[in-house]
Amino acid sequence: MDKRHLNALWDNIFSLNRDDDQDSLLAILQQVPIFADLSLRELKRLKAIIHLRHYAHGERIFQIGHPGAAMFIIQSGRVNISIPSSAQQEDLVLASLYPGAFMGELALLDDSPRSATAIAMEDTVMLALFRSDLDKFLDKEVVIGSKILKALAKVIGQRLRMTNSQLSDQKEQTRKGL
Amino acid sequence: MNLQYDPASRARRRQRFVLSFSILGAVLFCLLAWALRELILPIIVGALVAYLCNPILSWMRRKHLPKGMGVVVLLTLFSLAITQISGQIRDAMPDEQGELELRVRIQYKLNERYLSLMQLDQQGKGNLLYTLIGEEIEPVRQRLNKVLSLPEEEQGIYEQYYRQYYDEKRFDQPYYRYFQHNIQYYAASQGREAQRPGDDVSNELRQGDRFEKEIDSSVQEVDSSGLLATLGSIISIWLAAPFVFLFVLLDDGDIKKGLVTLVPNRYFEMALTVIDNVDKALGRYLRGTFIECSLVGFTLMIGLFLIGIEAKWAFLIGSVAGLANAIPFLGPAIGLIIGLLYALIVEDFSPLFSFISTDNILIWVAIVIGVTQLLDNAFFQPVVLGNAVSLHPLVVIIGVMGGSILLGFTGMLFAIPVIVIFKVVTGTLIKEMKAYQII
Repeated sequence: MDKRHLNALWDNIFSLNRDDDQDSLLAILQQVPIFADLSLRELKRLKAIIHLRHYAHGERIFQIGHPGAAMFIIQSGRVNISIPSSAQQEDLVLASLYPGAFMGELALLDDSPRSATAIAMEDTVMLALFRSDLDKFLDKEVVIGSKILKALAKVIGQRLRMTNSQLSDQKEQTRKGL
Repeated sequence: MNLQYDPASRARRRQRFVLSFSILGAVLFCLLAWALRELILPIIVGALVAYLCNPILSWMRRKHLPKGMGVVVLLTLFSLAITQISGQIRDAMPDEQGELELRVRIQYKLNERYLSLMQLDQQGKGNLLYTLIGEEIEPVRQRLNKVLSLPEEEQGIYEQYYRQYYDEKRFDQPYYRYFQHNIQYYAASQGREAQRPGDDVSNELRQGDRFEKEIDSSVQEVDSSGLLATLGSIISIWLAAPFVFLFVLLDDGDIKKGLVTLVPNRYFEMALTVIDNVDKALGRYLRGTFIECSLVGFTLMIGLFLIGIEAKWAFLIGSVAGLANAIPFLGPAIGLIIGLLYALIVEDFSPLFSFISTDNILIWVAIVIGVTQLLDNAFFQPVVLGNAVSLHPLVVIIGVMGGSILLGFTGMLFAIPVIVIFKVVTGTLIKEMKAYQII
């Protein structure tokens, strides 16, 4: 195991600033659109199922093709989302994400494979929310659950509209080119 | 010592610190686990019951009952159940005299039923059944008689008890007559003349005096060895069960989160997926087995009550047989043996149906147990266990035998859940490792 990755493992087990992490956790969760409708009391309940993970610079958070089991939120640091590029040797970076951004939200719905790879570009602290934990949580907290699912549907709807718009633009460009 | 404050040396120091403390912790844990091994069973039972109660707690949360309140309700129910069950068991457990009486009754009734079944006469000739299987059965009966018959010391205690409470009227007591009959019968079968208790008064008095002294000393011994101390230690050990039950139910996922922090980032998602799959499969198996055993126990209770067995005994036999049903193959046999043993010695019972009597109660008990097993195999198992983990019968037999060799009855009871955990963990782990391209 890489030395930096080993350090990240020690950070997970033996985090020195765990209390600070916990304090800023709620603040970060409030920024995430999926949890925007939740009150502070509801967010505190949700916090019980959130996993805090430390990633070293260059460490992979998830990989394209692997089954998705969790949604990740950046608490601190920077993460690149990339896909393999057939033309270049290096991966094609689709986006660079900063604190408050979230990724892999579709994994909250099913275990379909990841469509891109996420890599920490500096020492990063992530919040992970697992599908199985969320399912159990929704079973107990029906009101909070309905708010989360409604917000998740909105986010996915927005992404779909954006994709449709991009597809439409691309078709238009292709038609003009012909 | 190198006390540079650069990140690399700090990381090295941290690694060394955590590693040395991990090793020390692991060694201490092993030593403590061995020293406190008596606590393992209460902890497992507490955690298991909490695990089984988790869906009930979720249901309560859905009904807007606060978690604390739900846990209090469940803890009260758990404590009540433990108190009730232990009270029933304590009432049913015979004391020293009761145990001797039980053996006398079983031996007498066993011989009586055997003679009646084989229709043996004074010359030792029996019916066709005896001609066919008598030679094979006779050694087994002799062996059983040897096990059940009271040795001289216990005969003295029994004799002394009846002399003390009934004096001359003891000869009118049925269980005293059984006792005399057993002594004669066993002695006759051993080829020597039995010495009837009560024939020789002086001899009996001498014997009585001797046994009186023995009883006095044994009573003192029980007092000094501390029956209360033994009971106290058992109670204090089992006090761990409600505490474990309480804290496992109150846990908001911190135990799992704490364990997951030990997993390297690379295997983080996979580890949680494995834990979740194992939890689902194990939950299905344990809850299914619990419901199946409860249904078996409940059916037996109703069946035994309907054929006229006293409610208290029907409850006890049903509970023990239901619990034993968790042990595949052997469980139903244990239920059958307990039921038949009770039917063998039962004398004063009031059947609901006139065609049931002490002569045919054995057959009726066997029918009730048979019908319960039929219902279990045809309805309870397919409906309740459904798609829960299934094991090959050979694995089950070897597992149960192995558990029995290692830990006795507890081992037999927990062998199958342990094998199920092993099977589910390895199966899921391999599947997920392939999915995450680790292997």
